[in-house]
Amino acid sequence: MSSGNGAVAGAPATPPILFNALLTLNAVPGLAHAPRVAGVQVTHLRDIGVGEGRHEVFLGLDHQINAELVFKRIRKEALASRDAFFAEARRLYESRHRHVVPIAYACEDAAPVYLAMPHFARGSLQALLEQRCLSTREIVRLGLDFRMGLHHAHVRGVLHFDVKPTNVFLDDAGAATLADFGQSRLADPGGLADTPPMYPRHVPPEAYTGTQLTRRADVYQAGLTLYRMCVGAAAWDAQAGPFGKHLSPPLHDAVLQGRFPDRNAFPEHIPTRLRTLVTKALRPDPDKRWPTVLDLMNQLATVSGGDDLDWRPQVDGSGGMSWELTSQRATKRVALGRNSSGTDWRVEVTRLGLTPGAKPSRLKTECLGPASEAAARAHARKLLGVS
Amino acid sequence: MRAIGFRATPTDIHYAVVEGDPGAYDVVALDAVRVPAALLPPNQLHFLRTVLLDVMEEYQVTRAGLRTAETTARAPSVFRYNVEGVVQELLASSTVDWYFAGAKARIASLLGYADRKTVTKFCDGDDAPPVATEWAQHSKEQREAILAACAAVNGGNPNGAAAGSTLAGVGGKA
Repeated sequence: MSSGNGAVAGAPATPPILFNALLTLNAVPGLAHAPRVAGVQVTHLRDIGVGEGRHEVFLGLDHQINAELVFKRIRKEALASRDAFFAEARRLYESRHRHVVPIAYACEDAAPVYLAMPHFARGSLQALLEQRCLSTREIVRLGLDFRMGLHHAHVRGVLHFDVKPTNVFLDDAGAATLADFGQSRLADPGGLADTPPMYPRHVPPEAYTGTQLTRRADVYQAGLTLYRMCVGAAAWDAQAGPFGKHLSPPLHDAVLQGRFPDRNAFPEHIPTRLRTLVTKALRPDPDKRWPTVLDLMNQLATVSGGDDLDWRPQVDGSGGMSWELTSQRATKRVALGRNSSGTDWRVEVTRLGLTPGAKPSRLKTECLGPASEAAARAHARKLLGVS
Repeated sequence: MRAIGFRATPTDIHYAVVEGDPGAYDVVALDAVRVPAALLPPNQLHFLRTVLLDVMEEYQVTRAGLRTAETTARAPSVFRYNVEGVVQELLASSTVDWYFAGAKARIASLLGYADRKTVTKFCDGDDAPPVATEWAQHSKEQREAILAACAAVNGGNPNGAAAGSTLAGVGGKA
């Protein structure tokens, strides 16, 4: 890598040029052309993230095409062989698809390897989940989107092994696309691939006991991602936090026994059909999961309903939850939580006018006893009209 | 030769992958892709197009057929017509060597039957074509998808027509 002086005409605030990576064009045997080297000049704009100590991700300006691209910088010493340098780039190229993040180009310098990909201004699914909870319709739409990318990778014989909300990005149209094929492996003719290093909280149960995995491991991770879309970021963090960030015996036991993630933690607006299909995707025994991503998509396609799919959930600070549904005339709000003294459970229905200054009108408030959490949740579910 | 046949309904699109030569066929795959009920029609159509393109790639088919609605259907489904339009566009942008879209008469013609009554009997399960499968156990839509695939095996220009150049039966009679 060489650090230039950054004197590029038209570049904002003239930050230093980060690297001049080289594209080597080798001579073709039998032809009279000499080998040539072409440079790629990129300016570092800002860091985006660091992944598992092996690579860094930053936003850069490619001066040749005047485009802001996301660059993944991977240190060569972290990779086993030269073939491994560009394995991810090759998998991305092999898996070109509307719902797979495309690769712009790959190049190398003295020390690192760079993969250039488009910048998604809307960010990742994880960022969206940290901002707000999703309605059922959003879960189905985004869930189908990135599963289409995963299905395509499977058709090409590529197993992803790192499906999680941080690896799903939202494009300008709001569609979800699958990214990061750094842990992906090509399946052998029997559909098996060696187990790569995996994100601890998304390690499928069979990876604890075996050395090879099938596409059902991706079905598990896709189901877990769907689960996280259902419960929201806060509930997920509350569940996963106590296990820490590394593989541990308690996490191992909880995953193998089907206790993590908690299959009973679905919020009230999630319909039974969606809960059932997610739970089946998370079965500890891979043979009892949906066999393929296409099966999972077909099940997701059966989730149906009317307005009840559009309740927008919100989590309040006291452990309660509320849902809002906006029609042409008003917004209806259903709130579930404890009363102000923290003793009894209560369910409250409020109508919020859409005109500025309109006062909310409380339609119904029902107080249930201190031990009536289950009844209050069932009642809220009935008010939401969720089947 | 390997071909895929499609039969759309308002809720599913059935597909059959058939391997063989004219007159003798094996069913390699028989499945359906469901229309996502929670999505709006444009998103539903995008989903179907994307997934079906991957299904065609997965089975490496070289020919394709779409069994379209009869023009005399008593209760036509507008959404089915939409799905059939998307599948036709999909066939045009796919890498298959040859494809067709047609109703029973077109399928009968490609299979070498004089009229569509024979195909109607096949569709209703009253008679079975020379396909190595338990014909009576399939639904009517599955049978029609299989017949469309068999017709695609039979069809095409022996000199190697380009995709789309023989789409004579689109939505109509042979």
